[in-house]
Amino acid sequence: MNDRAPLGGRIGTPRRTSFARRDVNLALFGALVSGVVVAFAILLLVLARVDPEQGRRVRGAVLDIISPLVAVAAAPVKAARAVIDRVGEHLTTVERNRALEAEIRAARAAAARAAALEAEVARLEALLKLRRPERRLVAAGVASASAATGSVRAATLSVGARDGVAPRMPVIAPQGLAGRVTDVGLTASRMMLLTDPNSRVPVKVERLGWTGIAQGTGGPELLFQHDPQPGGDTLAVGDRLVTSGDGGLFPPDVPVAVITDTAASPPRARPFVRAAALGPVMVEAPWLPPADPVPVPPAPDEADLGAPSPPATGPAPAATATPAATATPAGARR
Amino acid sequence: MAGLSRRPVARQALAVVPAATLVGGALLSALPLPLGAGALPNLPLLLLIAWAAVVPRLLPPWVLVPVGLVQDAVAGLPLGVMALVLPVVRLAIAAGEDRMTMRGFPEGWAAAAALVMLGAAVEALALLLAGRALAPASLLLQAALTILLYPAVLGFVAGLIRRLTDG
Repeated sequence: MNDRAPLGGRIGTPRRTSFARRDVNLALFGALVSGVVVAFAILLLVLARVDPEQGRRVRGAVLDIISPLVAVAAAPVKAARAVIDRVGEHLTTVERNRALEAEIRAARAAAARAAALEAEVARLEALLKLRRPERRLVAAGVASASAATGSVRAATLSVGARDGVAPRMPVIAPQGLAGRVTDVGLTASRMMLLTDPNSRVPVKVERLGWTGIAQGTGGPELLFQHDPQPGGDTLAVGDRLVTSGDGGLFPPDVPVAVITDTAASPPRARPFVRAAALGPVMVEAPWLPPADPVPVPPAPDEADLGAPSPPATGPAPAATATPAATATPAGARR
Repeated sequence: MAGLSRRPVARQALAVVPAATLVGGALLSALPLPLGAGALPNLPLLLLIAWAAVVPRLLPPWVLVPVGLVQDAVAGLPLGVMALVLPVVRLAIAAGEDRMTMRGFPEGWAAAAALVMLGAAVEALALLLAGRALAPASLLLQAALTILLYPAVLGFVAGLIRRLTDG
């Protein structure tokens, strides 16, 4: 706009308008437009805060446009990486072979113990009538393109709304948990990686059972946020973090990260899934489906569990009367 | 129309090409590179600074809003982050333009560094405003890479302008 000033000056300027006044007017106009521009951007940001869903459709549509481009550009990168990996494999074959053989001997013994335990667990679960939610695969696709900006750690998935993918769904790679879906287009979607600073995954330490949160930092490592634990156990380098299933989004017992630094506070962990080498991944439905309430009358009191105390106020909906509850008035528990 | 010399064509091109390079830079950042934890330079921001260094008064702030929105959508940022950063940096350039005439390359680089840091600060504020968590280390890493890449992008922009104007 400003660079047109001399041009506009040549075309019929009214007699009284001086160049000085023109400049002042232009400056005022420019300031006004700049203010509007900045205000518009800030308004968008506030909208994004109030309703984070708002930008998803736009970003999803853009993904549909750029994902073919990404796929084409990814091909040579992948090929080059495959060649490098193969050369590296050849160079270290002997040592790796020895290490793997030792590992297999140890794993065989562990597998035998695990099989026995598995049978035991299945028998006990049958006795308890425990209902375990099943993991449901929604779509399998290929993840590529780490969009490495300063504040976002994301990858593009080759599956989208047409394959049933929806925001929030967990994404699982062969090595472990990769992240969750954020934006969905028709044929492509974007996932937030574990290392994104907004990523929080409920995890537990496989060996100790401690629960906590694996928090992304934007860097290559995760922070294991957990409450101080009583008892003599201590976290060790090499401890595996797996999903705990808390929150109902991620299925439990999917490998997430391995502890690399226990001296730091909170401890640091490295994800099993390397963002640089994502490949085929599975998009699963959120592990626990949201409860869908249906009208069912509350359960009646159990006849054989203590006295139902006839003068109690109303039918206690918490029918799981524990022995301790018989001592306290029914009304005090609500 | 056919009788026009090359100069008006270049003039029209200069109205479109800078914005197009910024969009191209945003798309380039979305390409898959085996950089799991690293950061890529903020190419659109750097291109804006380089264009302003070579030809002042290109890319008015309101053109930068749609460009910034494209970058937000491509990078998966909350819509409005780069749409705020780019115009604010452009306004800062306009404010400092009159004082920074006849500057040499080192001064230009220093000014570019200051502008990149301003951009990173505005980006951090915008992310906080949008309710996102921050990763200050990677923002700084990205800013550092962006500053280091300034000479190359400046050369690219200068070469582009030479081609456009010489025909």
